[in-house]
Amino acid sequence: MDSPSGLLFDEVQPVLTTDQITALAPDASSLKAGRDLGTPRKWQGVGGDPEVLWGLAMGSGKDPYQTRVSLSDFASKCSCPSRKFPCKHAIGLMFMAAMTPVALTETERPPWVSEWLESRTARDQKAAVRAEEKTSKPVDEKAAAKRRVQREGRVNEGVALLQQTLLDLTREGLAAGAARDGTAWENLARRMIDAQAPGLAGALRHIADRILRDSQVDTELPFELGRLYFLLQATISADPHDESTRAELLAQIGGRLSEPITYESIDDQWFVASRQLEERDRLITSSTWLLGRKSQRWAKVLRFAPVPQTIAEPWPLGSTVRAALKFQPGLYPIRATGEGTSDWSPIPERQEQGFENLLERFASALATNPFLRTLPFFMPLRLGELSKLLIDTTGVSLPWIANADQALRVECICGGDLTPMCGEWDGRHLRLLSIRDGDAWIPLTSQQP
Amino acid sequence: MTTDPLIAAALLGTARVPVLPPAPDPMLEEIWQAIPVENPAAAVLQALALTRALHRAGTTTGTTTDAVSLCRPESREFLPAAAVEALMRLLKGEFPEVLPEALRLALDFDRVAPARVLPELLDAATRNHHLRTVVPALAGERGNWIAHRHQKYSWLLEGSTVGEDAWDTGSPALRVAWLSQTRATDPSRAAAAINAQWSGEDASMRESILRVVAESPQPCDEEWLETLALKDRRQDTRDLATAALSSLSNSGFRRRAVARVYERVKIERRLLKRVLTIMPPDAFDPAWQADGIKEKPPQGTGEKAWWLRQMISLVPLADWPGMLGVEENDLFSINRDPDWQEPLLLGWIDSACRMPGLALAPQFLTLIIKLDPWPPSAAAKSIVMTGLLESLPSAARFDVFDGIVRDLPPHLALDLLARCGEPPPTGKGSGILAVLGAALLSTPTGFSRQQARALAVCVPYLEIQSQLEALAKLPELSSAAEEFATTLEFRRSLISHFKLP
Repeated sequence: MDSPSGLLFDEVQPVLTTDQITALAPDASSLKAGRDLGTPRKWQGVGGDPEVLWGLAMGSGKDPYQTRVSLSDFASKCSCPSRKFPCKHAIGLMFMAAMTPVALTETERPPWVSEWLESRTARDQKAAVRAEEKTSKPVDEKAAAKRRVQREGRVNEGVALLQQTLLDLTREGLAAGAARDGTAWENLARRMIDAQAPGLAGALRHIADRILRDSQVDTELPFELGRLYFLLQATISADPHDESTRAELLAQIGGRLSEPITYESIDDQWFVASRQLEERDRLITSSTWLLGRKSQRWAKVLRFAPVPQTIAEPWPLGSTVRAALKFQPGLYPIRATGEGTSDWSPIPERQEQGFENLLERFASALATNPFLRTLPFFMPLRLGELSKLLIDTTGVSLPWIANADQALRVECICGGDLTPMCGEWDGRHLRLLSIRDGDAWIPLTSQQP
Repeated sequence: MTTDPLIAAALLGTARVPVLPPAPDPMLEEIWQAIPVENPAAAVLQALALTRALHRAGTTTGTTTDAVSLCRPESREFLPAAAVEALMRLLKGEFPEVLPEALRLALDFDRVAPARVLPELLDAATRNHHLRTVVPALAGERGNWIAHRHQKYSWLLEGSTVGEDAWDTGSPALRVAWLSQTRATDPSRAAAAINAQWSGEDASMRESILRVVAESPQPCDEEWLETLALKDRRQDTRDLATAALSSLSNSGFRRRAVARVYERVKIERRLLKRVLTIMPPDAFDPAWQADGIKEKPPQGTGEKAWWLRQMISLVPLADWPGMLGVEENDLFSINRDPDWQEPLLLGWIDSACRMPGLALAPQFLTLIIKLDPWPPSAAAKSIVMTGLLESLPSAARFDVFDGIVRDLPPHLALDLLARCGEPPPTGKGSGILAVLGAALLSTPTGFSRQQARALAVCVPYLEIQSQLEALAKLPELSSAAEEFATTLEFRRSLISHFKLP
């Protein structure tokens, strides 16, 4: 794949794209101001190396602002008085590095840059030592057990409350009343947060946001409540579960395993196939689908940041990451964490064979994990003419759901031809997340929260 | 309402339907029997979970043969990635004044926009008619393909080559394309086709036809313009017909307009001065209505002044020297009858707005620059002047600009330059660029950020660097000068994307 415009040190990792910088901006005004500052006219002594960028921003003050950005995690520091983070100068410096890399003429780090990097290293070391001390410190088993019991008690109360609510609603009927009231579901979600069951809160918000707005709400609401009730029943069931089931149920509820977790690790080159960002309750969530080029495994990487912070995404969409991803245990392990560097390898040629394969994969996954909502796919598809359908290489179709803007963009890009696309299948509809346009891999969802 | 008894039970409530319906599929029979039924609500919820899994896992594919038609491949290369990124920034609203230049650059570069840009590109040109001349080539085969599929982008097809049957069977855009195509080779045939079908056209098609014809009306169009278009229900269509008939040098409409005014104006010698005297009409002639003259004046205007203004507005300014027997350069320096000067000026201004190409722009501009106070019921001075300047070819426009710039207040000169929205050709426009340079050095600059961006667009490519260097020497930049510099930098970067490697 051709590297998109605006990347730095593409032979020496890491890469920096304008999309990444845009996602880092805390708000639209900072982004605009940062873009305007991304010009050599407003800087002095601008330089960079594969680890850090630096420059003196000419502001309204007497002295220029010392701005530096670490390229490993996009952390930044600036001597300006702004309380936004990153400030417009840091964003401007990154834009200049991405758009006008020739302007980075300095190669020797000034002392204030070296000192900052050293202080960061020292702080990281101290944190590592503290973490080490924390793990080596004898655990107060009694206090930990007490805390665990308290947490479990709160979760159990939340589960019981939700279960009773579902039973009451089903008794009264789901055609009207509280079952169709989005505010009621949102309030219940807040109570699940208080009960330390964020996974259940997410499920209830899914009802408020998606299910109640679904054209098939009369069918989908009962089905979704059935799925939720099944999860609650499994959670409180007296049946002994194996480790994977326990981990899955806890992940669904949003709790934590008290025993040490065994991760499955897969070393591969992961194609960054899609990314979605959303903000809710002042928490930004970034959800990235990665596809293993060799293993053909899918991995979902989630990152979070409280507003006004932003998420520094080290892996640009369409790039390939070399990493050993650790998969969290569960009935169908798909959520993963890991670190690695990315490059601009070509978009993978090897793709899923067609919809029959996807349906087979989904049915198997659902048999393994009945709580599963969606599975990702990556395959060449074309558009159906009369209704919203996508057609695979074998000529069979599945329904596709998209807003008008996305449908038009996909139509423009496909031009009636088979085009590689990435998306999710939920058992009813395909939802597209990204698509290939020539050598570029294009997001179909907003890349800003 | 659903026919599934399990869904019906959940929707109605187990208080009303307390019995668990039978399993919906034999595959679920066994597990269905294991569902405890003591609590009907719990039983229904568990049954729903099972049924959901069955439905989700059991979805089957459909077979369809209605895949969309295939677009022809592009024959030209795509824009480079950096140019695409810059174009997307413009299309999403940054530096809106630079967008026309970026599109022209892309067109000159003879490349095609990649498909991912098309939604924003086509939307921009759908909103702004001025962009439509360059977008079809830039949108390439894919744009053409999309235009065939989406009515809102059908304007893209108006310049395409179409078959002979397009006028009778094509979409409105294809019919407009046929009209343009046929008028170029056989205008009489096009006029006959319009004449034959006018009464059956809808209002928007009639206006579209007029937009095509008004660009270059032919004598063969006069009949239907006079008998059909001038009587159209839609004001815009009538205005276009009026403009088209006025620009036909020997049309009956134009002759009538001149005759109406000719009998009421003359040049008299009073002492040592020549005075343009005016005799307003005493009564309204109902025959004037056919030419668009309205009887009832707006509030605050006298009837005679109103009729006079409308009569004068229908006469192209270019016809006045012949009518009065004076030179073009003398026309506007002759003293005007003070009693009827205002309707005369208003009529001239209206005429210049309606037919700027026939408005003796260089001469009329010298008059209206000094016109103070500006008649309150006339269109804004800067808009009238912009229309006149835009009617001239680029080189002539900046010649005129250089001629009048000394007499213009700097803020008006810069406003006009900003409205022109393009750099002067090499060797032209030195006067107005000097005014711009002086304004940038003063604080405050006297113009807004939006004007600053528009003015930055008017700096010739070769002068961008020197302008930026001049600005860099200033100890502090006002916000407008800052915006000006930022726009110049964006243009410099934009232009660099369109250089061949």
